[in-house]
Amino acid sequence: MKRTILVATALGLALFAAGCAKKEVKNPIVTARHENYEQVKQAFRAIGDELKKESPSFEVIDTNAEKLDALAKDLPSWFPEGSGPETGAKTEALPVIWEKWPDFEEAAGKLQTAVGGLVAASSAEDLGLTGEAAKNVGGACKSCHDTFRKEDD
Amino acid sequence: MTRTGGPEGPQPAGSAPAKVRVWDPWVRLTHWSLVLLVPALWLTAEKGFLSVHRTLGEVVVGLLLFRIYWGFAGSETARFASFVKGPGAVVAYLKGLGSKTAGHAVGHNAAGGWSILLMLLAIGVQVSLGLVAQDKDGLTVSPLTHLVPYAASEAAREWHERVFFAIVAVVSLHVAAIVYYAFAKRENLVRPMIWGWKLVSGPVAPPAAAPAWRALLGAVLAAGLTWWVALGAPGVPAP
Ligand code: HEC
Ligand code: HEM
Repeated sequence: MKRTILVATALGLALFAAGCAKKEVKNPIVTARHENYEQVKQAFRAIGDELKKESPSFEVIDTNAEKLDALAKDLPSWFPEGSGPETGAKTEALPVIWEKWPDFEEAAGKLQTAVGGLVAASSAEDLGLTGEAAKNVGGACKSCHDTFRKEDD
Repeated sequence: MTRTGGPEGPQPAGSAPAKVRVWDPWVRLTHWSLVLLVPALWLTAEKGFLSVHRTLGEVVVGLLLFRIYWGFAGSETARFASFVKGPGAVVAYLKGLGSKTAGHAVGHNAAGGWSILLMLLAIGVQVSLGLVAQDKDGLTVSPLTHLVPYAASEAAREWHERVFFAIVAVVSLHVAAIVYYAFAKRENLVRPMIWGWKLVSGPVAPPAAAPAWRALLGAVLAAGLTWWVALGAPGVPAP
């Protein structure tokens, strides 16, 4: 009985340690990718916040739309071959990204087009169009995630 | 509720059990709505139906606001003052738990009252966090997200995830107590929460019921406030 408990405890600890160790794996490409996404998210949120104000500042929207534009153009380069789950790092990038690279690039292209629309609408200082364009951008993010990103976190 | 039923559990000989109205319709309605909504909120969040999640969450905000109002202005058994008891009463109650006879309390017992308060508190914290959170992609935002900084919305999402377990914990305790009453004490607590009345032997003063107009007033106030929150609290300037 005592031995069983001892063995079970040791096994549990070993598994726990292994679990912790697994989380520790860092991959510079994956980390950089996540940092880039953090910027995408901040720019997108800044635009959303501005649009909710009574008199949104097109200057703020413009600045962030330009940031988003640069990031969207870079996006495919955040996914070099071999930076998927095989790195062992915590990532939701699915292998299908590299199996169907042209489709992935197309999805990134759709985002670039949508962000281009946002930049145009905000330069034209058209509030209605800017709101529409922001929604389109959100849709482009989501549709790529639906195919190329693992569900659940 | 005109319904007759058999006696609940053993009755002392001689005293005819009397039907006493313990829960008013408003308490029952809020209670069973929350019972349905909390699992629905979990499900919609897990499955990623965030806009449904948001709408259902706003309904919870309204129910909670009503329940708080009702805790001060409602029927006797709904009022916090009637069911939140001091530590002495809770200890005395817990000591009597082992007895196999049903307590037939009218309203919450001393420990039950605290579990109600804890559940309302946990759900209140949960909706407050949800209202300022943003999803992990920053694509779905809540009604009040624009009023708090980016980092606060991120923290709110993380805490929203954790507080859900606190809700599960207090609800489990609540359900465990009801199961204990059903099997060990042979008292069905669920039926009164459905139909509003229970059979009580011995003389009891029926608890006072609040008039319907007061419930309607509360419903209008809660709905109005919730509507304003759901619109993003117009009039409150963003920082
Ligand atoms: C072309 C496909 C594609 C597009 C378009 C796209 N994403 Fe992603 N996104 C991904 C993939 C794949 C991942 C998973 C990356 C990982 O976990 O390593 C991801 C991850 C993320 C993450 C999580 C990063 C983390 O720290 O876990 C955020 C946030 C995010 N995306 C936001 C956005 C937003 C906002 C947009 C639109 C402005 C967008 N994405 C557009 C493919 C895309
Ligand atoms: C009692 C009420 C509520 C319950 C029980 C509840 C429950 C949950 C649960 C279980 C999750 C999933 C957490 C996870 O594992 O990722 C979640 C996520 C979330 N909830 Fe709620 N919620 C409630 C109210 C609200 C309200 C009122 C709002 C806003 C209107 C809201 C907005 C959100 C958001 C934005 C997320 C994050 C989704 C994500 O990115 O994964 N919730 N909620």
